[in-house]
Amino acid sequence: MAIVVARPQQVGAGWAFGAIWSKSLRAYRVAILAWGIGLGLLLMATAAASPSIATAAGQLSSVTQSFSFFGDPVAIGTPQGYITFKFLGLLPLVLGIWAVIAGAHLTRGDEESGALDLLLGEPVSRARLMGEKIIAFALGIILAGAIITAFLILGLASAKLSPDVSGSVLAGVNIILATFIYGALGIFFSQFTRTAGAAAGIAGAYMALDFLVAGAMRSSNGPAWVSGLTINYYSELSKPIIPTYGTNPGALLVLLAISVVLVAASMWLFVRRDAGDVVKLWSRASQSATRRPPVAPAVTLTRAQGDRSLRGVAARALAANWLSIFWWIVGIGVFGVYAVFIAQAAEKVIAQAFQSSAVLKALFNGANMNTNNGFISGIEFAFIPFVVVLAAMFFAINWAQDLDRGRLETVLGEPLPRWRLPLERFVTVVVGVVALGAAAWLAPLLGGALSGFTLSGGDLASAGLGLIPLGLLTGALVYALAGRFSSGVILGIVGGLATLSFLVELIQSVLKFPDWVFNLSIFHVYGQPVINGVNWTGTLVMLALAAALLALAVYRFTQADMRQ
Amino acid sequence: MATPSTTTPATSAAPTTALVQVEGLTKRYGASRGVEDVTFELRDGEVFGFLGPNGAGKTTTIRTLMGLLHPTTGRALIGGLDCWTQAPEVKRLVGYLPGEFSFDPGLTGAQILTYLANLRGGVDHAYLTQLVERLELDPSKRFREYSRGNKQKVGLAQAFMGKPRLLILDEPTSGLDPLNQQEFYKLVAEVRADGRSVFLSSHILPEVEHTCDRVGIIREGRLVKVGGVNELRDLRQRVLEAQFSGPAQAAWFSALPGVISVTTDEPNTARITLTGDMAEALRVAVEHGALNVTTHEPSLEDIFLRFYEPVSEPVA
Repeated sequence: MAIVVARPQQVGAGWAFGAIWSKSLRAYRVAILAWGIGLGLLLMATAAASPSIATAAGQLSSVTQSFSFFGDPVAIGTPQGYITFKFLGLLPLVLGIWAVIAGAHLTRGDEESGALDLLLGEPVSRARLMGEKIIAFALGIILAGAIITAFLILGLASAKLSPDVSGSVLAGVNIILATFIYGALGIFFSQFTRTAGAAAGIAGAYMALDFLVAGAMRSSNGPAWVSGLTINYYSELSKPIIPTYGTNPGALLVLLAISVVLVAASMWLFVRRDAGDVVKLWSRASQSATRRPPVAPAVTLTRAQGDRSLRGVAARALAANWLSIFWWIVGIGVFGVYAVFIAQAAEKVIAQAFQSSAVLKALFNGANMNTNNGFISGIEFAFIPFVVVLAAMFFAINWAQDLDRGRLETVLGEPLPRWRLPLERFVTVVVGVVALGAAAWLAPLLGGALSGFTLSGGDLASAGLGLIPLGLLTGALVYALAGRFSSGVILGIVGGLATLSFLVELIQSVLKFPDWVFNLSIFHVYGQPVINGVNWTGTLVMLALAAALLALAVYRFTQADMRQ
Repeated sequence: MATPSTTTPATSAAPTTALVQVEGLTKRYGASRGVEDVTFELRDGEVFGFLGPNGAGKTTTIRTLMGLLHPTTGRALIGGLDCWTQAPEVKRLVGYLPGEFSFDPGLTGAQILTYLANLRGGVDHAYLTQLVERLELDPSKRFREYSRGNKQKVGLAQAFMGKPRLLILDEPTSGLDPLNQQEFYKLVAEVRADGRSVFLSSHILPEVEHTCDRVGIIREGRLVKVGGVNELRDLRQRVLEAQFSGPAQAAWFSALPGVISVTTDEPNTARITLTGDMAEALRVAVEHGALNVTTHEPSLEDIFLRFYEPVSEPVA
C-alpha cells in the first residue's frame, strides 16, 4: 500500500502559477468551495424555514435580554431577525476557524516547510510577497462570503420573502470583514510564534475570548468601552437584512480599519524580522545579558538523560502537547464556570417563558430549560461538544503533520515495531480528550459551588465523560486519513464535517431532514446527556467506530511506504 | 567483500559472512521507476560505497533496506532477517542516517540524542558524549537553530551511538565542513577496524576512494557495476589524441575494437576514447599520417561519469 500516490500533471492549472497571489488562491480553492457551499446550504435551509418560527414572535419580547449572550436578539420574531440571531451572528466565528488556520499558515507555514527561503530567493520584495499572499487570503474570504450571500438570497426567495439583495450583500460584507479580522489575527500572531499551529491556537483562543467578552457585556449591560474592545461587538452592530435595523456604516468602517491595522502591523513586522525567526519582544542586548554560560556537552547530555519525557514515544508526544491540552482545559473550564453564572442570571425569566413558548424550545434545540441542568445543557453543552471535537482534531493532526514532513524517518530507524508508533502517539488524543471531558464535567460543578446554583453531579458527569467518544472518534478519523491526505486537507475534511454536523444539530428544529440524516451527526448522537442521560447505544457505536478507524490507521501505517 | 551478481571478486582482505543480501530487488512507485532488479551482497567488516546521480535509486535502495519501503519484487536481508517482515529485529543491527535528517525543531540536540538512545536501548552514553565532542556539536541548541552541517552531526551521532553491526548512511558528509569530514572518515575507519560494516551513499569520489572497500554504481534504477575501488580503476578508459595535417574522420577509428567514442570537434584532430590495447588505434593514426599522438589517463571522475551517462546516449 503506497502512501504517496503519483498524480498526473494537472492540465489547465497553469494560470495559477503566474503569480504568488494566484498560486496562494489556488491553494484555498477547496476550502473556499467547501466552507462557502456548506455554510451557504445551511443558511439557505434556515432562511427557508424561518417564516414558520416568525409567527410566534410576540411570545419572545419579555425574554430577549436573556438571549443576548449569543447575539443581539433584534426582531427575533421576524424571519430576518431569526436568521440573523440564529445564524448570521455566528457565521464569522465558524468561518473564522478556517480563517485563523489559513492566516496562521500564511507565512509561517512556508517558513516551517522551508519554502519561504526559496520564494525570497527570487527577485521579489518581502512586502510584495506578503502583500500578494494577503490579497489571495482576502479574495478567498470574499469568495466564500459571496457564495454564502448567494445562498442567503436564494433562501429568502424560497421562503417567499422579498429577497433584499443589497441588505444580503451588506450582511455578506459584515461577515467577510469580521472573518478577515480573525484570519488577520492568525497572520499577526504568527509573526511571534515558531509554528503556525501555535499562532492558530492563540488566534483561536482570542476569537473565543472575544465572543465570550462581547456576550458577557451584552447580557450584563456591561461598560460600553469594554464591548468596544471586541470585534464581535462591531459585527453585531450591523443587521442589514432586518429592515427595521439596517447597517451601521461606522461599525463596518471600524472593522475595515482593524483589518488594515492588523495587516499593516503584520507586514511591518514581517519585513523587519529574520526569515524563519520570530519577532523578538526584548532587545538583543538584554538577551545576551541573560544568556547562560556555555555548558559542556557531557553535562547537557547528562541532563537530557534525566528527562522523563524522552523515555518513549507516548511520553514524548504528551510532552510536546501538554501546553496545548492545558489551554484547551482552561478554555473549557472558564466557559463551564461562566455558563453557570449566565444560567443563574437568566434562570427565572427564561424558565417562565420557556414553559409557554415552542419557539424557545426550537431555539435551544428542544432542551428542557425548566431545570438548572436544562440550562447548563442548553448553554454549555450545546457548544462544548464542538469545542472538544476541534481540540481532538488538533491533538491528532500532529501525527499527520509528522507524516507530511518525514519526521518519522529517524524514529522508524530504531528497533520499534511500526504498529507501536501510531498507538503510542494516539495516547495524546486519549489523555487530552479525557482531560477535556473531566473539565467539562467539573467546571460547572465549581461554578455551581461558587454561585450557589444547584446542579446534578451525576448528570454532569454523564455529559462530560460522554464527550470522550466524540473526541476519540475525531482523533481516530484524523489518524485514518493521515498519510492518505496532507494534514491541511485533513483539517479541511474533518473540520468541515464537524462544523457541518454542529450547525445541522444547532438548527435541527428548522430543518426538515429525516431522522437518519440527523443521526449521522455525532453531536446528535451525543444528544443531551445532562437531561436525558447517556445515549449508550450511540456511545458504544462511536467507540466501536473509533476503534475500527484506529485499527485501520495502524494497519495502513504498518503496510505503507513511508513518505520521505 | 561484496559479491555482486555483475562483478568479479573483491580485491581486499575478505570477511566471509554476507551481512546484507539484496536479491532481485525491484521497487516501483506506480508507473514510476524506483530500482530494478538490484542484486548485491555486503559482508561483515566491509565498507561499501553506493554511487549514482540524483534519482538513480540510491535512497530507494537504502530505504528498502531500512524497511521503510515495501519491495515490489525481490528481497533484502540484513543478518539473514527480512528487512520488511522483520524490520524491528533488523534495526537492532543497524544505525541509520536518512538522506534528509529531520526532527522536532523544538528539541535540543541532547534531547534528540537521548530520546533516540532510549528508543534504541543499550547505548553507551560515554561513547555518545565522545561522539558529540569529536564532531564538535553543541548539544544544548534546539534543532531549529542548527545549521545544515550541525543537523547532520546530530544525525551522524545518533547513527553511530549504538555501535551497530551495520551503519547505513545516506550521503553522510552532506553539509559537513572538511574538518568534520576528516573526523567522519576516522569514525568509519574505526568501525571497519572493529569488524563492523558501513553502507554509504555518496557523490564524492575521493571520499569513496578514501573510505570504501567496494563500490556499487547505480544508474537509472539499475546496478551497473560493483567492484573494489582498485578494480574500478582497472576499468579505466584511455584517451588518444591524434593530430593530422588535414581533416580527421571519426570513421577511421569508430569500428576498431575497444573504441568507445571518437570526436573530431577540434580542427584536424581526432579524440579517441578506448579501453584495452591501443596498438590498433595507433596503427590507424599513423596510416593516416598523424603528425602528433598523445594519450591521457582519465581520472576516476571520468570513469564515474561514464557510468552516469544516460543509457540512450549514442556511443560515438
